Amino acid sequence: MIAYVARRLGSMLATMLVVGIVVFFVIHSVPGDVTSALLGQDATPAQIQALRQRLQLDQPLPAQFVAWLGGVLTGDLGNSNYMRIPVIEAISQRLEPTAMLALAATLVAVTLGVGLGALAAVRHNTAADYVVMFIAMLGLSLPTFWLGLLMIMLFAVNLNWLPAAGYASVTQAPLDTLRYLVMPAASLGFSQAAVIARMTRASMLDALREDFVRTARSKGLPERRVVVRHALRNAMMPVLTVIGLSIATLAGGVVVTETVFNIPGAGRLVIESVQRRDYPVLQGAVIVVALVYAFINLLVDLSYLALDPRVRYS
Amino acid sequence: MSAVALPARTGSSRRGLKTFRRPPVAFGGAVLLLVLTMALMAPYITTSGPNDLDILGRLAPPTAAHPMGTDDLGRDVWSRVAFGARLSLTVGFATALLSAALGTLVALVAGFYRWLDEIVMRVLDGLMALPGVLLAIAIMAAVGPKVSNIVLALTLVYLPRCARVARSAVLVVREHVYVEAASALGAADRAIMWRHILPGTLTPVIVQATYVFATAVLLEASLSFLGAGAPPNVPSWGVMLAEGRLLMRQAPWMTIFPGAVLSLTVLAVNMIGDGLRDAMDPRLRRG
Amino acid sequence: MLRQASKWLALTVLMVGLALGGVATAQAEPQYGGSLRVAITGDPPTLDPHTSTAVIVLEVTSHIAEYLYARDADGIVQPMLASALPDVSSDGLTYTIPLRSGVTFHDGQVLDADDVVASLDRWRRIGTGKNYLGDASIAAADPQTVVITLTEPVGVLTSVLGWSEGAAVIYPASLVESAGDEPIDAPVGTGPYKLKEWRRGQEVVLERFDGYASRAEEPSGDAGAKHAYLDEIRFIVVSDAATRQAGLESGEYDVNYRAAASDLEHIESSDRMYGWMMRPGYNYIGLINHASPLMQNLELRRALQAALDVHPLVLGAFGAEGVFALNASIVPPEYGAMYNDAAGTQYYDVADQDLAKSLLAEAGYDGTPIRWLTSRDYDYQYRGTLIAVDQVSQVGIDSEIIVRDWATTVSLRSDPTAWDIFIGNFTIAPEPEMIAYLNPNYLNHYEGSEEYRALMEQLSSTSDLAERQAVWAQAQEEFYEDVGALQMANAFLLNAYGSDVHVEARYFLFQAWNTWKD
Repeated sequence: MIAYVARRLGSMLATMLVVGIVVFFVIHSVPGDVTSALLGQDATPAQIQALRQRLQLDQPLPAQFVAWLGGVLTGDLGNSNYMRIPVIEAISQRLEPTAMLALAATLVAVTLGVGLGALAAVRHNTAADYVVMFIAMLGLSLPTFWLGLLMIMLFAVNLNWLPAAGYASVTQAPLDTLRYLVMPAASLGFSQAAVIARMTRASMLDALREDFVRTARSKGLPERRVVVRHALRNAMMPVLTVIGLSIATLAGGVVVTETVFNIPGAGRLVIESVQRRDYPVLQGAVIVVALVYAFINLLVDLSYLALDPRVRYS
Repeated sequence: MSAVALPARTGSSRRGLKTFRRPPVAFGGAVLLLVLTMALMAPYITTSGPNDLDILGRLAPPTAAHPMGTDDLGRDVWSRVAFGARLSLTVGFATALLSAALGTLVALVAGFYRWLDEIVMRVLDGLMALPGVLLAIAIMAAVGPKVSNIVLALTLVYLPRCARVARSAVLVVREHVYVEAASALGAADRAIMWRHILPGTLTPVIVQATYVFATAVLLEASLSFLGAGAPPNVPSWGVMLAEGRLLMRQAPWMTIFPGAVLSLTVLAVNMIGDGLRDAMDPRLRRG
Repeated sequence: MLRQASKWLALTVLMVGLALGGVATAQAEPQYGGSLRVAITGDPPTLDPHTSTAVIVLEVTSHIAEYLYARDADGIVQPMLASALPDVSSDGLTYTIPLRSGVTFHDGQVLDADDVVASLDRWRRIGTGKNYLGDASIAAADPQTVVITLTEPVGVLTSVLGWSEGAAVIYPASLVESAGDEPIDAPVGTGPYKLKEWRRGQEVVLERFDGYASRAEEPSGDAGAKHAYLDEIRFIVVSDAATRQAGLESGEYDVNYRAAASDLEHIESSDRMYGWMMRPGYNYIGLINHASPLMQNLELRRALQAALDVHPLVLGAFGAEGVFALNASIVPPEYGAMYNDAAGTQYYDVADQDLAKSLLAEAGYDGTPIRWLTSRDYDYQYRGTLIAVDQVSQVGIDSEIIVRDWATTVSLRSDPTAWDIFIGNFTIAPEPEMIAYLNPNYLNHYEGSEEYRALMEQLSSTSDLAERQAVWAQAQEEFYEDVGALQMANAFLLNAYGSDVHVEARYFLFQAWNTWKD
């Protein structure tokens, strides 16, 4: 077990190195730099040159890369060129809305996905099953940002029930936070719910055919108990993988959703940093996202252990 | 030895044809055909060009002359929707084809030469750990807005996913007796790869490619929506949605129509994908 | 035609309504207290105008730091930290500037000539001051007097010292010394508000400075008395226009700084808010890259000039009537003295396709596409470019549109081989010498004809107003004849206020002093 985790961490490190190299060189091959955002459009060439020098943007790329990588390995992601604060601080300032959005979207996705998926499996080949499967199909096919726009049109512009966009900090106005998050979480969670529902249904159907379910039924246990205790529990393993993956892939969706609903989160920070060519923030943010992704994947694998003692790590 | 794989392939293609008789697949096929026709016939089924400006006729609601209304520059939304199908289908198809082909190639090479496998897998993991949208935005910013560049960026996003699918198929097939037998008989690596392993990976890769088609269409729209996609004068559904977003109160038709056609297209491809999966791989069929 | 006329009429009524709205609210009795929540477009890159010309920097810091002079509502320069207009020697080289006494900085230090010398020197060293002060000597004659000795006459020096963009703000000498050339993130000034907190990327919070030494004159524009009625001003970063507007309507914000033009009608029809158009805003022009070989063809430039139909172009670009004014004069009417809508303006908004075609034939145009550089990050740039390309295509000019994100666009713009025309907003100033694109060493590499250069040189050493007006009239005529740029319109900035916010005096930039809430 410990050896397994160690090996996983090792390969995670290798993965992160690849991420670092790709991100650094792709980002630095983008034309333009942070000076335009900092100095305004009437800046003189001399001012621009001086600033580039001060930010060490005039150094050769490999030297910049080595300096950056050295920092990252010692836990220092550097300073934002635009905001002149540590990257870690810049990111953590914007983490709350993103974390809340991801949490809410996952909640929506898991509740809706597992619930509907289980329902479809139990009512296999009935109208309920077909309806659920069609909804799941829609979830996979509707662009989250379009769904978001339609929701804004209906619930904010026409009915005036919910705020069209923005965010309120949970530490200041938790009820408002909820109001702001309803639409973003629903639109973002819907597509994830579809994936989870499909997987839940499929693995539930498998489980319902298994011997132990039949045994449980023949023992006269109530159907509800059979479904929840036996079938659902045993179907959870592949579902957990999908849930883990869907949390990990939320990162991309968060960027788009935060744009649609103008949520000042880490996703927006990434887009803003692309626009400002604030390389350190951009690189730092991507590293953090990739770390979270790798970490969640590891967690999912480990959770197999808890759910199914038959799995051994050799 | 190839005779082993052959019946399986003809069998699956026969099932593939039958698949199109199932209602969801038939529906998907019909819609996709419709969108394809729309893309090909765009100049003949619209009355004004997708980039024809009419400033004084801007933001007109749907009428007979402009069935989907006009946008903030007076361009005909219907015409832009129809021409926009060209971009979406081109990008979806090219990305699916390229990432499936290249992904399979990578998987074949990596799966066959075990020493390469570990390195390739780490690189693929690294690419997959980057959120697709972010990777594509960065690449687009670096190479500039061109249709070919969109395909390039999206291929880089989906290649690892295809390669993973192909790799697990390669691993399964590699262990099969007939490959070992061929190898024992002294067949060249390359011959084994092409003749014995490749056919076994095709089925899952084709199914995967269908999903790549659908998600690539979505991702292109997202990129264009975020302003990092289609070049000017190439109508794009994502760009139209971004423009409509700012005028939701005044001109909801700018948001509703392109989004609906985009969703229908993706829905159609996904339905076909599900059908193909069920038909080609009975083990995956549920119900 | 009739429809057009009635539209203009409606527009005029709207504008008058806006102006009256401002006056009417000014009649209620001012109240002290409260916090003004201003939703701004983005996080300022710095709070130091010496190091940035970005408007957002200036509009936030103008509450904190002040300059020697300031412009009143009629565009006339008035003393602010100085006690009077400078005493200029007859050769125009020596400026003697008397300072007010009893002015204190937020940190308690008293303003004296050393602070002014240190600040102006820094402004010249790292800011826009370089263009005007050059090698001048800046010295303190006594604690209340600063003397600037120029090496050659600069007709606009007083004007520049009272100008807000890249402003020559006065900091304490101690701050100038400790900051060096680094941007100042915690500015200390003499203004009516002081910095309380800057949470990067989120908000800038200012609070009233109780020790503020106000001038006694009536408030007017940027000049005169500044009453700090509000306890606190919060500049909250909300980058999305729709969110700012929604927040204003829900009462979350008091001011939507930069409302979308398309919301103008909606704002005006509501009794919970009102709009204020900040005029003249920017010059919306087609900047021509004179370093590009293609653009050196005068007849081709003339053909472009003749082909443009300005009104639909600008309307399409900004999306609504009432947020721009077609204006042939390079210096807008709001800035007073140098306004001139006659010289050269026969070349403005010609929209004559036949003329354009014949000019094109004269130009020997071979079909080389014109490269229009633009960015979707500012939709008025992109849409204006699309329309311009459409218009010139009708006379047979080919185009290539280069769309990049803003940072790339800025970097491409500084490469003289990468583009031909860029349509966008450019800062306007009261004096032609301060308008970047009229002068060499700017992105457009405009040298102009020999006559033009001679006229501009003459202008910069002239300080007599009547003489300046006469010289500038000829220069503007030359600029038009030579098609120095494609002159189009003034693009206003729309601010939307909650109806409980009252403003006594306004400037063409946002300011929250002389402002109170019910």
